[in-house]
Amino acid sequence: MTPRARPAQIPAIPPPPRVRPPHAHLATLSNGLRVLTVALERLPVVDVLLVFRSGAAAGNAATAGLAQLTAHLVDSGSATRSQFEIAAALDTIGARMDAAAGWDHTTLSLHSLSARIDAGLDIMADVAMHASFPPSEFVRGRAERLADILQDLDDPDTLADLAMARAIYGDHHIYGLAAGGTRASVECLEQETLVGFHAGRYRPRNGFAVIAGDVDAGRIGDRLERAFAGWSGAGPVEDTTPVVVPQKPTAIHLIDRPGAPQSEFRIGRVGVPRSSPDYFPIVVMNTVLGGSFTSRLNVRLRERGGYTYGAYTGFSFRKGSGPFVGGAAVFTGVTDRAIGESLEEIGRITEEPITAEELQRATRYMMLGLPRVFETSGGIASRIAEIELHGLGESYWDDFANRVAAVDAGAVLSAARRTLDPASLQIVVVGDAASVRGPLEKLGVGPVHDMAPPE
Amino acid sequence: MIEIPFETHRLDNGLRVVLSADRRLPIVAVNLWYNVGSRNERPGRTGFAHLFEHMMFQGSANVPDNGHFAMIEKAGGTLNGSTWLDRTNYFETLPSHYLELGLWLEADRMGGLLPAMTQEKLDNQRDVVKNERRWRVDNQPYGDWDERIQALMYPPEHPYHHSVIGSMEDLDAASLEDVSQFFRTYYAPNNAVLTVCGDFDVGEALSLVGRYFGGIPAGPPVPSLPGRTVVPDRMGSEVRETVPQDISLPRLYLSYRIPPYGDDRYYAAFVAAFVLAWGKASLLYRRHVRGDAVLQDVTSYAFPIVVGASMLVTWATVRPGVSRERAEAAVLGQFDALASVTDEDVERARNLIESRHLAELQGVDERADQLSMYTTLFDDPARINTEIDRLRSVTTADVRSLASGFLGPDNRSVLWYVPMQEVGE
Repeated sequence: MTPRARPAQIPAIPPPPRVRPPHAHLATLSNGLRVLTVALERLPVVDVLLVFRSGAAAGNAATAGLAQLTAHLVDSGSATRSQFEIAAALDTIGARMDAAAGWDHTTLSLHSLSARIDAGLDIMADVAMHASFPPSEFVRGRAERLADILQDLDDPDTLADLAMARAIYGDHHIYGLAAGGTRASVECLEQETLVGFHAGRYRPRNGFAVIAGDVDAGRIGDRLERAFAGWSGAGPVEDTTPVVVPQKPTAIHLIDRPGAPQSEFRIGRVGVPRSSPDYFPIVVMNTVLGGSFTSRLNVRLRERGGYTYGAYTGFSFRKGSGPFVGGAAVFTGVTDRAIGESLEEIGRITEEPITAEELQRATRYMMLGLPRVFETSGGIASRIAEIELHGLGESYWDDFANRVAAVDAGAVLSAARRTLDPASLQIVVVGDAASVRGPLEKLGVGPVHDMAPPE
Repeated sequence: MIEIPFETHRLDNGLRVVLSADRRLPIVAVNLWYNVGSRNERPGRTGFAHLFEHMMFQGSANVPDNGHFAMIEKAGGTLNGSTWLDRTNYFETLPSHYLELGLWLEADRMGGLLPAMTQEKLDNQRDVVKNERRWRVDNQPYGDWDERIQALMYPPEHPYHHSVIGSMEDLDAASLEDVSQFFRTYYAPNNAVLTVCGDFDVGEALSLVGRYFGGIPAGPPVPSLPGRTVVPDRMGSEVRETVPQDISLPRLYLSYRIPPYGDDRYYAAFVAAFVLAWGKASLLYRRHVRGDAVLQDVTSYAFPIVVGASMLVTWATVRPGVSRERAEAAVLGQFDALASVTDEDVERARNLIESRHLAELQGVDERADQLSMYTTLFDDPARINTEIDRLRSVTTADVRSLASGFLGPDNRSVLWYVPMQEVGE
């Protein structure tokens, strides 16, 4: 029997189904904690996020790493439980609790089977309210963080990221340092400082809770009242000073890694805050430039040039203006070419409008990809937390698709011109200086400075 | 407790099809496992299965270069593939009204890859893969750990001896003729499992699968694995290797030979890994990451691989100022402690395993991949629901027995990465 020929045409696509993003039920506890709950009828699991509006940006150069170290050690003991008791209690109920600080927030997260959520909430509340940072644990945890920094500096990928931040922000803003701090700043942190940060920031009116999963939206409020009884207080007034960094002409900062088979390069400058009115055109622009596999930068450097396994660009949207950074790990011998071509692509997107096909591909990627973001209880909790943290409005996810669809090539071009000034980009190269210095100087895009690795 | 619904079918050309409908969210995952991996590579062609995987994204009979990526992105989907020891998988997750597009794309490359293959594409992807090797392995601290462990744990004639990414020399030697041969031998419907999971109608999906895949002819019988797949249960000795690198902190990779994935004793090893290193109450974490702070971090994992034997691999980074001897003794000490592991420790491990298992199953792409895996490796998709029972039924006695039978000094390799500066002294 001869096999039938396969259909050669791309199949016709039916219209998309309507997607309703989940909405949270909002309640406020008597202690002032706002609670956003999304009840889901799927697997018997629950994700709880406790988000405080204080993160790495809450400090200064001297205390860089404070938020992160506090989060890291929040489960190392409480008034009534030792670290082992906390860990064993969580493991016994198969729950997972993590704490981490970003630039703008500290988040305590709990993932639990819904049948064991009461026990999980008790432990979460205990560390949120009564973490004690036992001195021996503090010493051990600080040493661990210092060893982490040593490891970061061994890794050319991380080293390039840290150097990029330093090159863009210098000493003008804390964004120039690693969020987790430097060797110098972490060495100077003391146990009392962590206690103070916890006491001042882990407060019900300095944050909110998000719960997603197999819970009853009505009853979970009572459970939380019980778990967090006795908690009170607000945090400090938020610092909204805009990030101001002097524009510097394009320059290359070279960190030597003798014999390296690849160079890690980064190209960047100050970006915009999350609240920027240009947010949607910028995200569409970035998707076309370097934010997807078929982006201009990835296709040029990987699929056409064969220089790299992958090239990308991205904006860090924080409360303040986080950086725009593009980069890749490229074969040492083509470092200059890869950087030259990347600069060409960045220039090109500020000179001419993107094509209709590129606009369609990027906007559809964003709009149609939305349902996936709401697939898991953890994913939903994160998305709700994001709109709450940045004050994006309850209908943000409902309006998302329309706002993306409203972006046209003209808006993308304006956004590119406003955010990507090709004359003031900082370039970092972590690679074999003996091989790459000459070719980089010949590129003629700016002076090549030797850079000491950031500590 | 877990009841993920599914049904199985087999086309005339041998393609096995698993369909698992869940209409709660408007997304669908298409997942293909080809029963070929680095284990099938012949000497001089290491890394070829992975290079071939890259070629599968370079277009096919009716799809232009990078068309696969562009079409999926335009549909709001995500996609990728991966190559490992036992298999190569390809997957996309799409809004559910795009199911037909996903199936058409997979069928087009299963049935018609070769017309789109050119020397230029092969040369380009060869460069990409060489860069991947540089990025993952050569320019990364501790980057070649898996390559070294496989070489220590499996004799040269065993299909797992060489690395998945392959050597630069072998990658340079790969030719377009190799691509054709590999495709004809392994990329046939009779050597594949197609799973669709998510929001779709079973009848419609079956009809689409038949329309797009039914016309692809079956391939020849797949050759048996090269080399020798049988190895003794235990290595019979301890093997050691020390690698100086430009790093600040030493790291230990300790590996034991264990029965292959699927064997009852494998599950005891899986639980043992959790007892040792998962969660902050685990033995190694509470005693040596906390406790006496000898270790910076620790991980332990029982590899789910099926040919001959598997490995329980534990790795740990040493804190500054701590000697390697002390760190090694600490890690080995907890392996000894498994002989008297408590019911509480094992109970905690089982609970953690269950909780993680459930969390993973929330994603349609993960469910689809697991269904493909269980069908390919065991011809038993029902394991998606029953695997957790196998893990839950591991007892304290099972863990102790696994430890005394396999986790001893005559059945392991000890790989150390040490700072170059130290070695000079």
